[in-house]
Amino acid sequence: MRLLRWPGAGAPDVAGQGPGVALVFGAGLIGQAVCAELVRATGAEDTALPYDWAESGARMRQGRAAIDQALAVAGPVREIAVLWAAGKSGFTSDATEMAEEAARHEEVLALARALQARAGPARITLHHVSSAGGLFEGCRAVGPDDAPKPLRPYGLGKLAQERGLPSLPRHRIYRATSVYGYAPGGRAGLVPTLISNALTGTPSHIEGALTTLRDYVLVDDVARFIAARMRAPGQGAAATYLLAQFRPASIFEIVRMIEQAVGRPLDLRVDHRPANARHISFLPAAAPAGWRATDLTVGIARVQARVRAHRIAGGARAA
Amino acid sequence: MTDTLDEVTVSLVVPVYSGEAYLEALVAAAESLREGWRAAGAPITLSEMVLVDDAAIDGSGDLIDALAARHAWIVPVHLSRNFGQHASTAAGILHSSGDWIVTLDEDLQHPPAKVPALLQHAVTRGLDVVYAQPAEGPHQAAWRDTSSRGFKRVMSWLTGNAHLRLFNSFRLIRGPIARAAASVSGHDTYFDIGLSWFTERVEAIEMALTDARFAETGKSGYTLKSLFNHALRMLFSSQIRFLSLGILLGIVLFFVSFSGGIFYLLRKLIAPETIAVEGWTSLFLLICFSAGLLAFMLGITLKYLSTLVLKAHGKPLFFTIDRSRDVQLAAWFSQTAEKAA
Repeated sequence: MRLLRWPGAGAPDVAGQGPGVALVFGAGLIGQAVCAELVRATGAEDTALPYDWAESGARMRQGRAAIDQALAVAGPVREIAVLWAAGKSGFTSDATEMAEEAARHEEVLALARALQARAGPARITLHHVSSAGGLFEGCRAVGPDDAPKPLRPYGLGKLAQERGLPSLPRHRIYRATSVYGYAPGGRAGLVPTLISNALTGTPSHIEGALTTLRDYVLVDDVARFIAARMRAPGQGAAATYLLAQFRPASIFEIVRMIEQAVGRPLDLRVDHRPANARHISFLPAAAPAGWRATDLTVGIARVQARVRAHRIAGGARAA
Repeated sequence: MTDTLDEVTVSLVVPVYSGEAYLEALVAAAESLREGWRAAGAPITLSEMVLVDDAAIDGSGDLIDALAARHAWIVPVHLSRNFGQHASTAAGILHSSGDWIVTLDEDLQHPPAKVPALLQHAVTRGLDVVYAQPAEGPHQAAWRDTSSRGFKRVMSWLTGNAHLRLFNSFRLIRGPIARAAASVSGHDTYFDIGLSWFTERVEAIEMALTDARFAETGKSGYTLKSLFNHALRMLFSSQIRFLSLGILLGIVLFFVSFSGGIFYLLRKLIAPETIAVEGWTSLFLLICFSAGLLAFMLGITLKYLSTLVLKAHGKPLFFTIDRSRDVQLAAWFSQTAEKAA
């Protein structure tokens, strides 16, 4: 868990310019990127706090301590953001795994409610990172008015998490599509895995068909959008944002782009009976205002540069 | 939203360069098709229409945004500069998600109402690409249509691509194949040649098509310069047939000169008195031998080079495809035809 506090850049009543505090749950790809973006944009102080995801008792104590600390640093701050980006599940997660994630999610909601109860005039907004892929698996041309149609425990679990949010007065939901980027130590998605494999000549196992369509979105874009709303959540009790490239891409195309970016061929092993091969695509009409997605070619080149830089730095350290 | 488990989806892709006068009508025609399928309870959905603004020279860019604001199923794509019809078609295809993709011109030369006929032909015969062929000359000008046909015949012979004569910008393509071809296309790749790297299941059907813009204004979208560029791109995207002819010519010259050399050597040894002028024959044979060897080596080099160029262009080693859902759609078309009868 991380605690961030940023100073105001201008008038405290002007949206996005006042000081703020954030508690970030989840240090994966999105969580790390949001923290980095808040630090970059506001010069926020970023403090790591203990939060033991493996041990429930310790977690409760640490959560209460984190609330105390957040309120202590908040002072006159009006906006306190709580970010849930700690989902560890994936398409293949079963009902038991989703239940475990739901329990942890509920604990974070309870902490947010406790924080709200003690925060006085400050407003608490829960920012919840959900999964567009899980909610709309097998759906194409998803438009602004389309309701989720989850097909498996992963999507059903994500939808149940979203439905639990109204227990808080204010919340924002971010339905991100297939987020790609590179975070050392974080879960590696398709793009960085393929890039690493191309660099090392390691075979890549594709758990889908080469023709499977997905919508890939760069983590930097997602982080920028979420961080901006954490600083200025706007009016209204609830809002849901679909964060996508709004341009589907097949795995075949991604492979081709990566081969071009890396300059080496990929050794592919394609699953002949893929369990995760349904297409998913979204219409640009569903894009939220202010959303800007980086072009896939540019994004892949950027991730490739990060993977290379990390490998070089790792190599230098090893030497 | 369409559910891929039940429905077959179709995407329309339209490159737009100067279509301001036609776009409203084109979108209305597409909407009519979309609603028609919906009303008929068809297992097909027109899920999206991708309008690609190829740095249009008229007000098309703004109109595309206005149409997209009115219709959620319209996908606006704005290219940063004018890249040409093939590049904008590829861009549109890479923004689409349909099981089938139909590419159309902006000027109503290719009415969306003809899409079901293309789709029916494709699923009934298990095809991957179906081109629309004008039953009569689309330009309604004999010289224009004859020159167009002649151009395609010459290019078909030069490239050795039998399907080249069918090429038309009004085409229905199986989605995965269209996207794969578009994703490997470079700026010099001729898109239809790129398609032929992924499939040989290509046919055309005749239908009544007219180039409304040409009929009204007498101006075609193609100039002599653009036709020349088309020809160059077709040649550079293909392995040119006369490279093989060059190799063959080299081999023939080599063997002719070699056989001639043996013949004249024996003649010199056995009957030297029959040679009136000495030196000319051997010189001629030497030139012939050298030319043959050079032609052969050059042909091999160019063939090798063209193989590398095709690899650089993205010609794949293999590509897999699933055509299993065609049967279901073909059955629906058949039932609909029976009911209509």
